[in-house]
Amino acid sequence: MHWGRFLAQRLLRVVVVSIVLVTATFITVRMVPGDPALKAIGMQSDRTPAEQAKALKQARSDLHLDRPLPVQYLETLRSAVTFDFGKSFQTGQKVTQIISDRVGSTLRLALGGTIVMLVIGVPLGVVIGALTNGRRSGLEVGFSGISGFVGSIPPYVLSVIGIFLFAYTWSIFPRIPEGSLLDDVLPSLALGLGPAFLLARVVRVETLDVLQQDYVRTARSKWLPWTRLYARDVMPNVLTPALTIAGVLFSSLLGGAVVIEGIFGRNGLGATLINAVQLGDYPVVVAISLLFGFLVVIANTVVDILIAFIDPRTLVAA
Amino acid sequence: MTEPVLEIEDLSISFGPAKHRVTIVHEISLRIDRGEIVGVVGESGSGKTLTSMAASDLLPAGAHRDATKWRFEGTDLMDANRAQRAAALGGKLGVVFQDPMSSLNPARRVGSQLSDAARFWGKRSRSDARSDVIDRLRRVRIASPEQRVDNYPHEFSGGMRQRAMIAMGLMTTPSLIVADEPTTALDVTVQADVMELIKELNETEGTSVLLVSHNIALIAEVCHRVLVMYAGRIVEEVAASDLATSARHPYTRALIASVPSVDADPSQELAAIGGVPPDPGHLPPGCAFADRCPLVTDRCRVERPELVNGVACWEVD
Repeated sequence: MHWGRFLAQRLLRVVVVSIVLVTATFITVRMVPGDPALKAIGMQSDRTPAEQAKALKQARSDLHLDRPLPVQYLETLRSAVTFDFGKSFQTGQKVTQIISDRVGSTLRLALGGTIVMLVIGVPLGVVIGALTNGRRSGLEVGFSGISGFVGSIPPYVLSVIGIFLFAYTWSIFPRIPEGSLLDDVLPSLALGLGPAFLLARVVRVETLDVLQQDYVRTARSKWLPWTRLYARDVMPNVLTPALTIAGVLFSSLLGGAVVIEGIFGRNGLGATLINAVQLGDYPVVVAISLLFGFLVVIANTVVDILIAFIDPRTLVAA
Repeated sequence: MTEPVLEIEDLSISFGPAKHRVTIVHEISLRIDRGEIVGVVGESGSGKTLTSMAASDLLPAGAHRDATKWRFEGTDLMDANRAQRAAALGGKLGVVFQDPMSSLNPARRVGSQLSDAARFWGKRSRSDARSDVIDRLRRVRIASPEQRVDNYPHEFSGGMRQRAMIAMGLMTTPSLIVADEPTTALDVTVQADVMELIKELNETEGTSVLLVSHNIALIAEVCHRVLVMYAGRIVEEVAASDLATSARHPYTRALIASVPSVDADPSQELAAIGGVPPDPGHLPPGCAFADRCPLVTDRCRVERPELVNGVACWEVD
């Protein structure tokens, strides 16, 4: 009965976050040193200074950079609403075209990383939690050390190690993308392994907490097989906080995807974004930032909806 | 049918690593006959809850249990593995826990939690189990159980949750119900309802009950036999009907004396037992109650009295 209000709230959040995102991107790209118009026309030695000034003026006018900032801001907002970001300052290609050409690769990587994070992180945390419940302090210390170490290795380091071991030393995976699903395995692991161990740490502590709850003792008093005990009484209560953390980790995972795309020779949005920032290609930067921001908000909204399904008390609070 | 439902001998429960192990419950023997309501009374920390949890195989992680005998309905559980214990106890032992606010799973519907045991051990179908739940909720006097069965625990009041807990204990018509302070969180009228229900179940179904409470008046009213625990030991075992007149142990007498009476002069101070129970890690060599006992002698401080003829005291017999 609270679902309508709950979903309306989440939708409103998407709108607010998007506006904040567009505004922040609008300001930061203009703080990057250098003149995008100058970068767009380039330095051509055969132009006289007068011609150069004229070309620059023309470029500024073409790119709408001669308009007052409030007008440019409104134009950016409008482009975000209509999903029409115009053309790249640099290549003249339509921004939507640039994105649609590359977004698939990035999304596959982000999805792969998320799957690695969840599929490794949640079961690992639950198992170690169940095993260290009031005993095996050695395992607890060992796990804390190892997970803290793996969790703090940046994805680009894992990428290099992964490529060295599994693509060069043992040629299990392709060194450059070959168009098969195998391309995604190594980068997904490099991307998701760190977050998986961070998630496992949180899940372990949550599992310990849940196992000490009175309602688990109640559940134990039914003497059901332990698989049912975990599936029905333990997991739902572990998953609620675990999904919240996973939602937060997803945003850092997305950042990692941008960085490691280059290492694996993937033609994704990461390199495009970095280029666009350096060249002051405002429409491209705004569009990609908005897309990434949107993905993070969507991921967290999905998390909220899942949590509301698992634990209906969150709907009451809404 | 002379076989007791539950038989435990020399049960000790301790915590901590081997070098610093603290024993909370010392060599307790417990026997509950079919159709009998046995009360365990004592103050906080006396080990009564741990004893009831050990009897129902629900000790917390990290607890060590020692016993020489542990049988449920004739099945030896001492050397049984987890599956064998589950087969012996599942559906036959119902447990009612003391804290209704935290003892139900917040993420599951009440009906689903209640029907687990009936579906697994009673082999009831989903819809049969559901009508069982509705029936039990009605028996614990929850209004409109047909709707309430689909509620989550947070939609129940505290009293309703406790009654739902009790309904859970009744789902499979168990042969023994272990009820740990089942009414402590409830107001007085609901308390009376719940006790009435437990008695009714005992009379109609012949269900045995192990009732744990700090409230000696309540225990005396409902139970057939009373075990009084102090500092992890049973200090007195007495028929409930004789409790007021023939309780012998000074601790039991003090507990009875501390129950306020309606006729008592309100301007008078309530009778209380002076002092505090000893630290379980540093029990005195003699009787643990010695420091608070009006009858204490030198012998009490050096030599511990065993439970003989229903009482563990040097000064009374």
